[in-house]
Amino acid sequence: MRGYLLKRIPSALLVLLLASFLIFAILRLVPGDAAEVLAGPDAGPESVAAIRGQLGLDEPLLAQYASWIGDLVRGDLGPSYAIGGQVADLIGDGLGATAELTLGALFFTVTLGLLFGVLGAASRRRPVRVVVHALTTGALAVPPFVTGVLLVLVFAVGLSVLPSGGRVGLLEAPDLELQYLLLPSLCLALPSAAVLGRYLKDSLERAFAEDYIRTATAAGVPRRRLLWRHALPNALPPVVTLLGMQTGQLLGGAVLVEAIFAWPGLGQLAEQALNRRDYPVVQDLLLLLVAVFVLVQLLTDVVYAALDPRIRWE
Amino acid sequence: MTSSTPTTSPTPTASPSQDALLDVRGLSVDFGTPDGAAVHAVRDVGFTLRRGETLAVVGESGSGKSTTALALTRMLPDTGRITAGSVRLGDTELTGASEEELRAVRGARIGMIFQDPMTSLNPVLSIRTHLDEVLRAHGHGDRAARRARAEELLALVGIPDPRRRLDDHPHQFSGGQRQRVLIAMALANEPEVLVADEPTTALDATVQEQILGLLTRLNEETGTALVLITHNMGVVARTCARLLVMYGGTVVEDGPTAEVLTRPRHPYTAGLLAAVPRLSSPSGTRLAGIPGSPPDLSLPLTGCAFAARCASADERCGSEAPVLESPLLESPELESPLLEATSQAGHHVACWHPDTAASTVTSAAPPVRSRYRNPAELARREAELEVRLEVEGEPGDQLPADDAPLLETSALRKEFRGRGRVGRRNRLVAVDDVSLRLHQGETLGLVGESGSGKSTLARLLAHAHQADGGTIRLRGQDVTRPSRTALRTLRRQVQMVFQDPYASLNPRMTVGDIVGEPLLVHGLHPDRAAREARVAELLELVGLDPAAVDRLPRAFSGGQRQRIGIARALAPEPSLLICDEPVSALDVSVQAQIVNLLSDLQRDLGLALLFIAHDLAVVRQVSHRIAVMHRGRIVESGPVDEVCESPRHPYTQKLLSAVPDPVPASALGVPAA
Amino acid sequence: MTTLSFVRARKPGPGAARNPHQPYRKALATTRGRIGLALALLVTLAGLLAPLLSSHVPTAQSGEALLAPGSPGHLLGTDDLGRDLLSRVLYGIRTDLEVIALAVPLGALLGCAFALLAAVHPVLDTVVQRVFDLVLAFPGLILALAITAVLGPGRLPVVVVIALAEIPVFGRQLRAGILVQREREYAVAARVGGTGRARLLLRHILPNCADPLVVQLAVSLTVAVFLEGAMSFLGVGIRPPEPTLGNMLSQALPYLAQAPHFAAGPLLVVTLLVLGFSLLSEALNREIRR
Repeated sequence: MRGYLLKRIPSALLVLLLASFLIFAILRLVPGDAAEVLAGPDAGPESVAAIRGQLGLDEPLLAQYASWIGDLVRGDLGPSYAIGGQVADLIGDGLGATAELTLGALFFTVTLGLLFGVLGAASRRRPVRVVVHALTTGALAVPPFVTGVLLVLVFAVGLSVLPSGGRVGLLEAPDLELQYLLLPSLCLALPSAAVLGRYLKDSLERAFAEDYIRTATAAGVPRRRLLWRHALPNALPPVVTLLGMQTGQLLGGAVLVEAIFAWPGLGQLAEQALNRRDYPVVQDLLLLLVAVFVLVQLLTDVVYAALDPRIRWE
Repeated sequence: MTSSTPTTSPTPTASPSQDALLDVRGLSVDFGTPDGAAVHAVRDVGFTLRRGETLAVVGESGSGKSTTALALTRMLPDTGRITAGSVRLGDTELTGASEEELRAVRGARIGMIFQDPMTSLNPVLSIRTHLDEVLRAHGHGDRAARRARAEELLALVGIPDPRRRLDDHPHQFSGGQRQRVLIAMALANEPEVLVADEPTTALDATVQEQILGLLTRLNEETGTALVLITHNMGVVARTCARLLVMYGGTVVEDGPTAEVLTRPRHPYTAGLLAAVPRLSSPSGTRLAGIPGSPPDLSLPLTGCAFAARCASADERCGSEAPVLESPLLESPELESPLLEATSQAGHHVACWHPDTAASTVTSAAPPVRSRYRNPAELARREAELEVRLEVEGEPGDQLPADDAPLLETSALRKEFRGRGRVGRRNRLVAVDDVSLRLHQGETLGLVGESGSGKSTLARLLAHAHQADGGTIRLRGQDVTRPSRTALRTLRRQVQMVFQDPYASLNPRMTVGDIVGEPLLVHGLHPDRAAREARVAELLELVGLDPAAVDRLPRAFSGGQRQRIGIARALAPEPSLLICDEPVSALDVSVQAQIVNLLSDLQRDLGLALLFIAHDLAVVRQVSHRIAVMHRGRIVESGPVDEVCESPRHPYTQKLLSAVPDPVPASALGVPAA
Repeated sequence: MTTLSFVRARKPGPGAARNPHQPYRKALATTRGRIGLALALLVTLAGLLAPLLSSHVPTAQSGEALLAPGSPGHLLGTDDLGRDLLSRVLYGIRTDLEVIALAVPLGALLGCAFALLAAVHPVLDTVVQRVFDLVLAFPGLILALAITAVLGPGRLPVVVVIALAEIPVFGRQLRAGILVQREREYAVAARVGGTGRARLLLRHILPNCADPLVVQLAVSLTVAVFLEGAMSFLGVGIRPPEPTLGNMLSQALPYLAQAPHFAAGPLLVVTLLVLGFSLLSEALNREIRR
């Protein structure tokens, strides 16, 4: 297990390093640099050049990159150019909101996914399987922005039972926050839950076709126990890998869901920062998201290894 | 056919005797196919099993033997359905039982073990959990009691240090040990019947020997009746007192093992016995295959299932299904307790011409294969044969030993590194210091168990892998690390036939393209018409209809596919043909056809043949010389008859003694086990 | 000699001598496949025939009928600027399909090219794998935002984002397929028979990896519809007045309560199109795995 981790960590770090290069490069390709934005449309070339010098944008690219990474390592994210305030504060605020949303969605993804998968593969009632199948097909066929719009239409506009958007903060008013969180996280979770459910169903069906299930059946193990004790532990490891990938999808989807439900998260911040060409915010934000994704992948692998004794024992 | 009702269907015993434990009558099973057609896998099968009895069910693939085993406790896959018949276990009727009733029978009154121990244990559960699950499913005591019982069971099946091994996972056990664990699971609740479906097929001969010994011992000690499903006549002779032969989903013959194996009454049984290669038969013995292939089970059966392949079949055989009855009785009406007693101890056969069977065999098989009654006669015949061989001589024997070999390897070595784990580097030396020589026109047999490195050696010689050390010389030239151009010419000379006839042909290419590929890439017949003519010629050479060129491999049976593989290998006119387990995936009757084809081709084309197999009996019959491989090394080599009769290395001796011969112990004057 | 008598191939019974393309035909013959194909074709045709089917110029505004419900003059009604919704939906489909038809095959081809490249040498394989990891590490829509920042809004960033997102998807799938097929005995047999590397890869191995890629293609079409929609929705894709299904939905969102018909048209079409593609992929997948 330790050896396994030792092997995975360098490749994760490598991806992170490459991503930082890429992020840096992309943002240098954007037409019009931060100095022009900061100086405003009426500023003359001298003042732009002055600001450029202030920000260090006239230094060689490699030096700029080095100072960015150097500051990051020291924990100094610096001030935001355009939005105002410290980058660390902006990202910190957004991170809280997005984490809340993503974790909420993860909760729905896992519970609904398990429900769909287990019922779809093991229910003895055909109608149940058909309904589960229809639900997953539906959740996959309707794009999240449409689901979001529909959810708002039904629960906020039609029934008026839930707010149509916004956030109050979990610490300020937990019960109210849950109401605000419900629709966005469900909207974000539905496609992932459907994918997970489908995959778990396939995985369970494959496990049920294995020889060891025949062995257990021949030993008289009851059907319910076959599912939970014999088939599921074998079906889960690949599902965990998929869940890791889906967490990445959730992070990406959050941008969209945040826009629909006016959720003040990282997605909103990213959109705002990109529109105003606020380099420091965008750079740090992108790298943070990539880092989270890479970390999730690493965690996934650890969980996978813990679930499979063949890896655990090596 | 399934039309007959259970009441009128014939069963081996006219009246179920008092001590009948398992009574199967008129059992028929259909499988649905995606096309909506039905495959009649089992048709009207009946037998009884007494307490403590050992019964073998023998047949080739598609005979319905495994389906019968699964149908006993209704463990058929979703597409399978019992269409008729009854299965009575004591007083319980199992075909109509509820799921809960069946569950109470499975693992408690009927234990089952299956073919592949590598996949039959759950990889994420410990051995203790495996045993615990079986015990708990049938309410065996509390946690501590189950724990103690689990340990006791592991000890019973001969796993050393059971207390410590209980918490291990399946991947920490060898194949043979896993099968022992499965047997422990099957016996956990002291069942009345143990159904073993091909329990040793996936295992090496030496391990097979141990597992069969264990099954026999447990049968004697615990009194559990044993139903052993197998395709291996040797296993039957070794283990079971009674024998049931199945073909095309029907029972064709049934009786005491010694009786059926020595005096088969059904032409199929006789043919099957004749096709089994025997270790006692010397080099050069021809096998007698059964021509044709098994029946299409999706078609309704009229008459005898074997009629299409039977030499003595007449019109009646094709139209009217024969009834399973005692061969001495003229008609079933006359059956009475008295006659039953006088008939040959419950020997039954489903054939209209039971008396021709014996003669059919004798005429089909070469003289040496005729039934021998005692070891003395056997020895005498062998001695005669050896003399004959020395006088007449076989191609390989005539070659002077100092003649330059076609292929020569010295100190060949190949290792595989464990998949990049940091820290402990574990290396597997697959081929270690192997030196061998092969002459033109000679067949070298290479024997070894799984993991002995024989397949790796084959791939080294065929340049599919690169050797890590040592040299390979072809016609005296060093070809260990050939250049690109040298490799091209080399590939023309060295060709290979693979084990799995299903995996070794590209499913997307037609037979013509597959066989024509080597011609094309070597630029042998640049002209399309010439190439096509050559492909047709090759197909004819291996006994296939040249009209098959436009077909895809899936239209062919296993034996036919293996012929396609051989045609492909022969296409560039190689001088060395490497056959890696060419017949181990085939049924016995088909195996004989392919073995004979290979020896004919070897002789007619003057090929040097490297014949790799785990089955010593087959190797002995096709080879001139033999090399025994063990843990990557060649431990013994020499003229095949010499090695087989007086092996020097202990491993060879062990290997030889583990091969089960299809001659019942009783027929050799020793009491049956 | 009995062994040299001709052995005839089995009669081509039902399904015995299936040619390799039959699973596709069979998949399209299932209920699922038929409905999927019908839906996809219906929406596609509507888009292709947009100039013939629509009665108005999709960008033409009329001052008097704002957010009007369906009427004989405007079958689906009008939007907030008085534009005919039916015409906008039809042209919206057209725009979507044009973008997707370019982007998905592009991404698929590039992904497959990378996978083939990876099969050439272990070092290349490592490089290609890290490239895939890198692309996958960026959450899709964040990548879309960044790319649009560089390229500016319009069709180009949409095509680039969709293609980029598909590269690792197809690449990994094909790479995994090649790794499995390369060790199969038929591939070893071809190698031993003298077949060269390139021929082995392209003629023997690639055709045997094709089935899952075809399924993936159908799946990717749905993903592409989503991505285009999401990008337009966020305002970083194709911008109004040019209609796309996504930006129409985005525009309709504020008017949900007062004019639900505004969102209904694009919503229905997107759902039908995606449903069609996913039913198709499901039908193909079932038949291929059989």
